Amino acid sequence: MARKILRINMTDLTAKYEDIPEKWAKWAGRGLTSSIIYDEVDPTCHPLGPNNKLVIAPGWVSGTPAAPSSGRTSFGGKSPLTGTIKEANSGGLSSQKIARLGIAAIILEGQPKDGKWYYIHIDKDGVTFHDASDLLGKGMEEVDRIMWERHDHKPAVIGIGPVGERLAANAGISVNDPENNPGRYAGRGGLGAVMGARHVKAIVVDDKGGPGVEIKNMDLFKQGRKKLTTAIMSHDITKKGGGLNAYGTDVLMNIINEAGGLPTRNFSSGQFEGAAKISGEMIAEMVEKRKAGMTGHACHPGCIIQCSNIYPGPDGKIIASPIEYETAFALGANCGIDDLDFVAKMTKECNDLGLDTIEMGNTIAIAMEAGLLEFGDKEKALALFDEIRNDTALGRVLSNGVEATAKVFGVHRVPTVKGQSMPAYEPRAIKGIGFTYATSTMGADHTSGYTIAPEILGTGQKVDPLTYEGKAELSLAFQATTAFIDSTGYCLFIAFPILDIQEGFAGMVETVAGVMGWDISGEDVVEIGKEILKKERLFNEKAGFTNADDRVPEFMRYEPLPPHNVVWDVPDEELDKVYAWVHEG
Amino acid sequence: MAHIEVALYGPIAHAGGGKHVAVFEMEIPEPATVGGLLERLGLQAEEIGLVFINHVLHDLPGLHLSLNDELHDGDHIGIFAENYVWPYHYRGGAPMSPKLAEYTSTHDYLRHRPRDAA
Repeated sequence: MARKILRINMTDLTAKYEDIPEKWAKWAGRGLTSSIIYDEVDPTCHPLGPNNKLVIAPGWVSGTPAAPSSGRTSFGGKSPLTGTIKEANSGGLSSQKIARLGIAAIILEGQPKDGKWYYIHIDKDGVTFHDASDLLGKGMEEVDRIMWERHDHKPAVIGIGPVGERLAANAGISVNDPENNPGRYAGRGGLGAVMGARHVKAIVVDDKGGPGVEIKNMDLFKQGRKKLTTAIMSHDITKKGGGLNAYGTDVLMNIINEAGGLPTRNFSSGQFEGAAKISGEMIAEMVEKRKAGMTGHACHPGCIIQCSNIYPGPDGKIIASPIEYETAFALGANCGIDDLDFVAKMTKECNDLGLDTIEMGNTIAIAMEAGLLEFGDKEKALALFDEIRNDTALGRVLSNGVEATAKVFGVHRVPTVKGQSMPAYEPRAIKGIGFTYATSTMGADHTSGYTIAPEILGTGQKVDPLTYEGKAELSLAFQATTAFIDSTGYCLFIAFPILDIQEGFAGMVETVAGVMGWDISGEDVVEIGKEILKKERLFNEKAGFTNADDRVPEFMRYEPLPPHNVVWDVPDEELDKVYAWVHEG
Repeated sequence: MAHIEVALYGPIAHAGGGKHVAVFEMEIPEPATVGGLLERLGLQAEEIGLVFINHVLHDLPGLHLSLNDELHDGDHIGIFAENYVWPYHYRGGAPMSPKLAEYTSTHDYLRHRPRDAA
């Protein structure tokens, strides 16, 4: 059965299954969300207005039998936080279920004429619209629970918390995990507000009896799956007991701190004296000591990396899941907070209220810089979430993110690119990531540029640390490869093993080729990725973005960062090389 | 004697009395080297991966360039077990030792474990 586009129009409360047009037929995941937004959304529209759309798409291999770690769902729209095109993806239950219903993408458009709020149920028999007035104001923990009570077959629940209802620029989209907890977020860029602007509180997806995913070349798919699985299970970082499985993504905390690149106290230092206390190693220690929670948790069915965790409090009761490196950096180091229990409590608040943890932690750091509270004041930091929950004016400001909060409180040290605040790698100390932060079509984003093997790049393997030569080309190849992987449905972390293990990379491509019936190989990945980047870049240009927006914040250019005491000194013309090709040839 | 601060991460933390992390200070006779420190701690080179001295990267997994590098009074050394990786996209452009810089200008620096590393 050919994949369909499910178009849900909230203005007249209709749902149509459309044949997938030729121009979108090859795409899935991010490639499809960005293609649809590029074709159907006016780049100059207001992100919260009637003409923006939310597009939801599983990847090429999502929903196929046992493709490892392939449960990512892409969400796309014009971002209220950045004003750019946006793709944010999430683990959880939704990707595989949408795919198994034969749906390539859900396009959510329009706004109800009656101003009412709805939740939407999708199964093999179609789409139903339900009154959501009794869900309004509820956090995602309760919404997930209620949806599983009302609907059978443990469905996927895609939803927004109270901040999404308020159309706040830092509203994420939650997806429930296998335990029906709301810790999986398409967090960045405020897409929860785009969903809220359609007056949709939740989308419930039940795949029981669905047609499943068609695989055009099963032999090739199986061959690729075997190679990829072997690579994941044999690599130091992704195998059982490997770095990610044992300590989660927070395995990076001590490494980046040792390197002097851990953004601390609103990006004023590259080192945090309390880093070890909020590291992945400490999470493992707490799980062992408190004999509760777990490491090595799977965020979606079929994940074999299992880097998530469930974090317990001193009494053995679960506080939150998961504590990621980005979460621990933003709500921890960047706020000067070295108490993992408080990081977990704030994470729980974010997950329930519907906030992206990176942007929220960085926002609290801005409030600290403004003198609203002291750096390190964990009790007051946690209390700020009451302001958001109680919908006070201060809560409204905070839930609109770093730039909004900095503007309101007169802070000029604002660590953002294109309106989105930086993740957990200081570009002054780690210059390479600065290329990606500055030029990514998404604003400052750490998941935009994963490394690809030199053989695939077709360039030399060496990297001269003393020059910028070739660095722009590297960043472009990384961003293009990432755009490809974001379209597969695979978790981006498969990029770790397939960098070192070439068979794994070939296997990843073969699974995609097998599903789609294509004849492609590893050499095609960068070019396919560039097609996606080009649409995103052109959308942003039409929305008014220029090279002048591809810059790191001013204070990083004059304020030396300890301990290396370095400033951002990459010449602008080097950054401008990354996307120069878009208008060439 | 040189007074140094040592941080051990991962299973090797046992050499400093920890389970996952051990941070401690110690005195070692001069001239002191990274290799000499490992010997005193009872650690084999194969057990360790990333090495930072005063927050500058000296070694990648499988690449033991720092064994003969000297440690001085007041130095901080951070040593990670061999199964830790620091992906290139979060590493490129970070300060590194002259030896590692020379290595990367002629060899692979993109992989987690350089192809020609042990």
